[in-house]
Parts: sequence; structure tokens; C-alpha cells
Amino acid sequence: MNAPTAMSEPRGFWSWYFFPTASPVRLAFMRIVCAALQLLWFAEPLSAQLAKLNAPGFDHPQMIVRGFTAVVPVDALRSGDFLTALYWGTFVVGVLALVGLLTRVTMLLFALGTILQIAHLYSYGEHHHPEAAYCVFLFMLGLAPCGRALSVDAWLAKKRGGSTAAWGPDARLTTVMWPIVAIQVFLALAYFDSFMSKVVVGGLDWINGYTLQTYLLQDGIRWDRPAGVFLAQYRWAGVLFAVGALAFEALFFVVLFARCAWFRRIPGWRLVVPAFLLAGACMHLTIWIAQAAPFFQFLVLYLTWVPWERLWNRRRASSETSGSMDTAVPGPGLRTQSASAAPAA
Amino acid sequence: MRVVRFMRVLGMVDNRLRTWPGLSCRDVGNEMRKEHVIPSVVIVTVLLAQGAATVAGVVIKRQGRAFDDHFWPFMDYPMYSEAYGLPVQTSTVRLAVTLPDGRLVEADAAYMGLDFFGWRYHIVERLVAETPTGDYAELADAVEADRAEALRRIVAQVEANEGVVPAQATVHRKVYTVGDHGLTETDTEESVALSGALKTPPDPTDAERSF
Repeated sequence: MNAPTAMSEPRGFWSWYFFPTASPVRLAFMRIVCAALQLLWFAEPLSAQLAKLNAPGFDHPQMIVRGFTAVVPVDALRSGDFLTALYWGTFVVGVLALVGLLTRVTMLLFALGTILQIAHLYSYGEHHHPEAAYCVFLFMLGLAPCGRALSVDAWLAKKRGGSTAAWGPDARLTTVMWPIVAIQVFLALAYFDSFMSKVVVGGLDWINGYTLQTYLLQDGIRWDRPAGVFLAQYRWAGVLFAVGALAFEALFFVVLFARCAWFRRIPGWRLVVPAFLLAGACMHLTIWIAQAAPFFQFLVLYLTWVPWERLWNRRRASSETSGSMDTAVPGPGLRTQSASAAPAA
Repeated sequence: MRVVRFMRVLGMVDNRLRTWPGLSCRDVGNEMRKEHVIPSVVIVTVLLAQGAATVAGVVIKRQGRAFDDHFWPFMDYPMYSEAYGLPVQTSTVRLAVTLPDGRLVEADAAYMGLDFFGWRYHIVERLVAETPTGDYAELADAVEADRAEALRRIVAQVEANEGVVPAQATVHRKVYTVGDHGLTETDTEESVALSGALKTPPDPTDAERSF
């Protein structure tokens, strides 16, 4: 690798925030989780794509579809052959991205294929929100070195004598955190947007209790959710959920400052991020149970806050310790040494 | 050259920000490097696009207009933002179509080849929408045009599925209300004759591919 060239001096906020030196494990873990979930769970079936060919109303093309059809004719995009090829092509590169073979190319193609499929589905007047941030993250993963660890690429590189400073869980890179941090900011923007919409459109009446009662009743009846119908009959539940949701959405951006020094002076600061993520998970799961609105992609993106590299190192240290115990003659002195070594590692 | 200039500006902002009290990023930060240029452009573009969608969504909604939703995945998040008062109420609808031989066909969203919201709000609700009068009389033409389009789509779908032109569509509505004594239900029914819907059938293919 060439030595990096300094383009601005001295060190600053931008590079500190988006480009800290870090292990590639977290990015690699997110690649595996996101690719696997998109392939196995979140992806719309091919039949949904093909059904759109007969549906009326292809008069709301998304900008992405407009851009694509500037190059490829509309008739080609809206053909069974193309959509089938796109679906299976995306699936194949998705599997390659999952195992980490030619990761940067396959991850980027997987992201672009997924985005084009969803943009096509949403070009008929109906669109939904849960996939938006997730697709942006897939795209950014494709532009980042997400295959430097936990991948076939990393295994091959090590086999060919690649540097451990650039490949594998022990590598230290400055380009592995930016997609993670950027999507966290993106999520905070999305939540703040939702908060602003409620304030601007609904105003103070939004927390009168009747509003959420009405939404719970609507979705509970419409999607056959007994929990929603049950909660809709209690005004206090409407007020409680409304205040909680507004507070969560308005304050979520606080978690973006968790790395700042002044944040760490707040008593109990270590609990702030987990508390927000737990509150968000509870909110989305309640919305799903009571209103059948699935925002599971947001919950997956919450995993970007988990320090997977630390868990990985801890697990590796403990397995190495237990490995050395297995090969040694067990004795009280060795056990004590191993037990004390694990937390230090 | 533009990229270099952009990076210089970014570096200046960078240096300003690092002197903010409390950020204390000197000890852990990295230098801006060449490999950070493209990621920086992506980050700025993505966050600006989402920020613009947020601001535009809020501004446009304050003006009471609909936000353009063609910029997915950069979009505003207006779900559940409208406020309601009493009564706490909702309704479900069923669309039944009567064929010339008297048979009844349930024309739900799947039958019509539409998603739930498109079916309910572009077909069923438009079919039985009240024609405005008085101060809002100028909207009457738009309501009638929407109704005619809904009728046309019902007739076309039934004809495609059953091979006959339907005679009548009936909307069954069930209203649910939360009151002091819990949840109550009331039923209503409204029928629309479909025989006139085929008189002026517009060509759907032109509209579908006209972007």
C-alpha cells in the first residue's frame, strides 16, 4: 500500500468523526448481516416484480428509474426477462458479497441491483419507508472496504502473504467506519424528519391521545391486530405513546455525540446510547405488533452501534485462553492465570 | 482541481471545528487523506440529499401541498403525522361487483391488481366520494373525473377477469367507533351503476408510459 498523503493539517473534526482508525470487523459484520437479511428476508419476491408489469399506474417513476431508463429503454426495464435477470443477478452477487468474494464489486452490484428493484416497485404510486436507509447503507458498504475481514477475499489475501495491517480482523484502517457513522447520521435525520412532520402537520394536538388511539384503531382493524384494537380503547396509552415517540424522535441525534469528550462528562453516559437503542427497538416492535408497520431494517441498522470488534477480540481471547488450557495440564494455578488474563485481553 | 479546492475548504471547516470546546479530537483524529475524498463526497451528498428532503418536506407540508415522493431513497417521513380528535373512529370497506347474470364478485385489492392503499383510496373512496357543493363546487369536476377513472378501472378489471361487463358496484362500509362503552360497529352500503362507465374508455397505455 502507498503511504497516505496528508491533504489537510492538522487533524480535524471531519476525519476524526468519519475516518477514525479502526478494525474492519464491524464493517465486515454489518456486510454479512445486511447481505444475509436482504437475501433471505427483506427482498421482495420475483413474483412481486413481475406482477407490476400488469399493474396500471407506471406514471410515478422514481428518479433512479428515470435515470436508468435514460440509458435503457422503458420497455426493456419493464420486461419479464430483464426483471428476472436483474433478480437472479442481484441474488448471485448478493451471495458473493455475503461470503466476501470480490467483495467491493459484488457488494456494490448487490446494492445497485437491490436499489433498482425497489425503485421499480415504488414507481407505481405506492412507496414505503423502511428500506430507504437500509439501501443507502448497502450502497455505502459497496464503496467501503467491507471485505477486509471475515471474507473469502481476506482469507485469500492472507494465503498470498498479504499484510495483516491491511487484511483480517487485526488490520487498522481509516476507511472502515465512514459508512457506519454516515448511516447513523442518516437515521438521526430520518427520525428528526418524522418528528418535524408531526409537529408541523399535527401540532400539539398530536399528543392529545385521540390521535394515536385513531391510528391504533385504524391499523388494528385494517391489518387484524388485536393488540392495536385493545390499546386504541385507552386514551392514556395514546398520550403515553405519543409523548414517548415524539421525545425519542426529537432527541435521537444525541447518540451521534457519544464519542465527544463533553458527552462523556454526563453522569451515566454509557447508558445513553443503549437506552436510546432499546427505546427505539421497543417503539418499532410495538408499532409492528399493534399496527403491522415493519421497520425491521431500522433495527438492523441499530447494530452499527454495537462494537463488534471488541466482542470479536474478547471471544478470540477467551477461545485462545481455553485452547491453551486444553493443551496444558489443568491445575489451580493455570486456571487462575487464565481467568485473570481473559478480561485483560 | 475542484476536488482539491473542495478538500481545502473542507480542511478549513475541519480546523475550525476542531477548536470547538469539548470536541477534543486532536488525540484520536486522522489526517484527511486521498482515500477519504470519494467517501467524503458520498457522505456529503447522501446527508445533504436527506437533509434537503427533510427541509423540503416540512416546508411544502406547511404550505398544505403534497411532497414529491419520486426521490426515493431520499424522502420525508410524514407517516402518522396528522392529528385527530373525537370521535375515535375508523372504517373498513368491501367492494362487491354484480355481474349481468346476478353473480357477486369480491373486487378486493388482489382482484384489482393493486396494493391496499391504491385500491382503497384510488378506487373505493373515489367511487363513493361526495360531490362538493357550495364553496367547494369548483372541485366537483375533479371529483367526478376521479370517479369516472375508478369506474373505468373496475369495469376493465372485471372484464379482463370474468369476460363480462359488470352491472353494478356496491361498497359496504363498516364503521368502528371507540366510545365510553368500548368499541361499537355500524354498517352502511352504497351502490353505483357501472353501465355508463364504458362510454368513454381512455387508453391506459399512453398514460402509463408518458414520462
